[in-house]
Amino acid sequence: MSGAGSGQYEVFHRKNMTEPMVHAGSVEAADPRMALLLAKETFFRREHPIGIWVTRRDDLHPLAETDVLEPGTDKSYRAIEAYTGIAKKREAVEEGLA
Amino acid sequence: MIEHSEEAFRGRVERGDLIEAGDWMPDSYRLGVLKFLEMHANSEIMGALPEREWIPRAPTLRRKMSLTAKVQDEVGHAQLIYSVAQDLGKSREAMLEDLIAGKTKFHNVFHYPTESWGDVALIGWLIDGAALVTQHALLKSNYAPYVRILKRVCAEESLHLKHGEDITLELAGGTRAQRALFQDALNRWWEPIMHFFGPSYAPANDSLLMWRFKTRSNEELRQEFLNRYVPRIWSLGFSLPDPELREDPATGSWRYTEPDWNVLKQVVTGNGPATARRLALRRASYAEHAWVRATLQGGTHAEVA
Amino acid sequence: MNNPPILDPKVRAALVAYLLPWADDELILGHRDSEWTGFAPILEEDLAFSSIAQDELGHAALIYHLVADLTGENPDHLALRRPANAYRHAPLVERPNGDWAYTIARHYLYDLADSARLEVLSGSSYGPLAGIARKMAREEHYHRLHGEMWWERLAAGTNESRERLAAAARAVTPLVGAVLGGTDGQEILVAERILPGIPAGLAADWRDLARPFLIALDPELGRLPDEAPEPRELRPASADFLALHAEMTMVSASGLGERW
Repeated sequence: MSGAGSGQYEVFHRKNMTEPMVHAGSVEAADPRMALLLAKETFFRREHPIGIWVTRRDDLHPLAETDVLEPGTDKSYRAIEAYTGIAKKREAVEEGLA
Repeated sequence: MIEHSEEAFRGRVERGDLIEAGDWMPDSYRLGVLKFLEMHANSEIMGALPEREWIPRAPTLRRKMSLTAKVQDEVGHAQLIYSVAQDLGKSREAMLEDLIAGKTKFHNVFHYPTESWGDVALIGWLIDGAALVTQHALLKSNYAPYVRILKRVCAEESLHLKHGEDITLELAGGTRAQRALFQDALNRWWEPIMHFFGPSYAPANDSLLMWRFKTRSNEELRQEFLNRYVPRIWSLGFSLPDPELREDPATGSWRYTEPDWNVLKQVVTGNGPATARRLALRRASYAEHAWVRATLQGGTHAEVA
Repeated sequence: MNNPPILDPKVRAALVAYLLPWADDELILGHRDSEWTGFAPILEEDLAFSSIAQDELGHAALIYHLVADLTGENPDHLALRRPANAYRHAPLVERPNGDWAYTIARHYLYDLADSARLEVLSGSSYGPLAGIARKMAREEHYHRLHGEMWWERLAAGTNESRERLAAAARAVTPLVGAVLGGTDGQEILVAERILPGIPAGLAADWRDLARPFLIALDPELGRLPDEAPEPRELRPASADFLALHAEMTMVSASGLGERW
């Protein structure tokens, strides 16, 4: 569809106040006002989100190089699992000091 | 960097990779999937037509609302599936125009007229039941954008199934005349239902099966449908117009009179009993709304007086 | 609902006379709106307008249930089993849908009248009525946003859309007043504050809401006569309604069964 405002809009919704905005899908509409009103009945007939956003498809920019998202070298120090041995270590230190 | 070749793609498919909208794909996959999605979306928008005739005639307020909601869901499915299909390179407008020009297909069952409230019950229970068998199997498809929307489609179709069963049970447990309405519908709709799953191809001839876009054969799906619904139809005291229909005790599979596949071909190529009338309705509606579509272009202040 | 407040017979009769035409308005308008399902101008709009139709039918159901609580009748029988001449809706709602402009004009102008009515009824001294009015008002808010969106889009879109909307508004505007027309015994309801607003007041509220939108389309349209709407009266069914009624009652009155 041509035209300054018209076209495809991507729809986001928030389920409740402790959740982030999540993508729901896309609607065709003439402008954001129409996109918001139509999104409600396109995606949320059976749900009651507490908020809806729309943005033009053209304003969404996907990352082309998705390979850079894959895991690389060992960054296990970023995860709490790296410290599963800490209880044992504490025991040993306390014993050594006793 | 993923290699762009049919061989590499086949490797991905055989590894069980899910395919995403922007991935490189051979033409045979892309065009095959697009055609399949287009037919599914077309079927949803054409499927709305037989049932919407009965919204004005619904016999209670609640059925009036629930039938409206059901048909609304079918239109919603069309919206979801056209959106997915669009990302494979054909605009929604082009797909709608090809549909009403008779150039593309929709499922056989939506080429038949409805005659009574018995048809509403049957369509809601058995046709939606058949659709759910195929759509549930497609949840294992390797085309990810389709699987994502199919989750919602299947959830809504499961509701439709219960709705259709509810209407059927009122007829089945109702007056003799109400039972006759449903039996009459069964007699007329059984052949189209058997046709719905398509002929039993050898898997090697089904390219979407080879590409793992589809994961189950036509015959497997038909058998699943028969196994689930025939005993229930019989237990409600209704008969089916196929004297050969029975479960083979040795194999557990269902035997039936082989449908006439020429009839199916005739119907889906545009010669069903209601095809011309329904496409004409859609064409007229599309033409009638051209002036509305014109207001959707160009922002809020286009050529004003 | 169980145990509605006990009413004096005269008050009850006046309330039924008030509610039934309103229920019929919502039913017939919902029926007309539902005819667009599958055929609206864009797929997403098909979904929105179908929900609006379901809302109207749902409102009708709420009001028929209220009447049923007062009279002991079956709500589905009230809705779908009366003879054509016994329906009391305003002529506006039975008109065929026409083009999209006619549908939007009717949708928006009717909903402005309905909003005025609901605002007043939300303060009714009759609890069950105030309760359903508040429920309906929330859905009417969406209807108004939706109607206004389309009204403004058609008014500012193309020459053709503007002309179609103006023609539709000219046809619809004279018929809206009747939606707010007085019913038998209404003065009793006003005295009891079951109806906290009189018809002439509601009609004036509607005119204030609609006037800016009508003037923007055509200054002539903004010249709304400052008169009280004609009272609601039983009238013989029109050809449009006879056709609608025949279809609407085709299955329910077929005699094939009582439960569906």
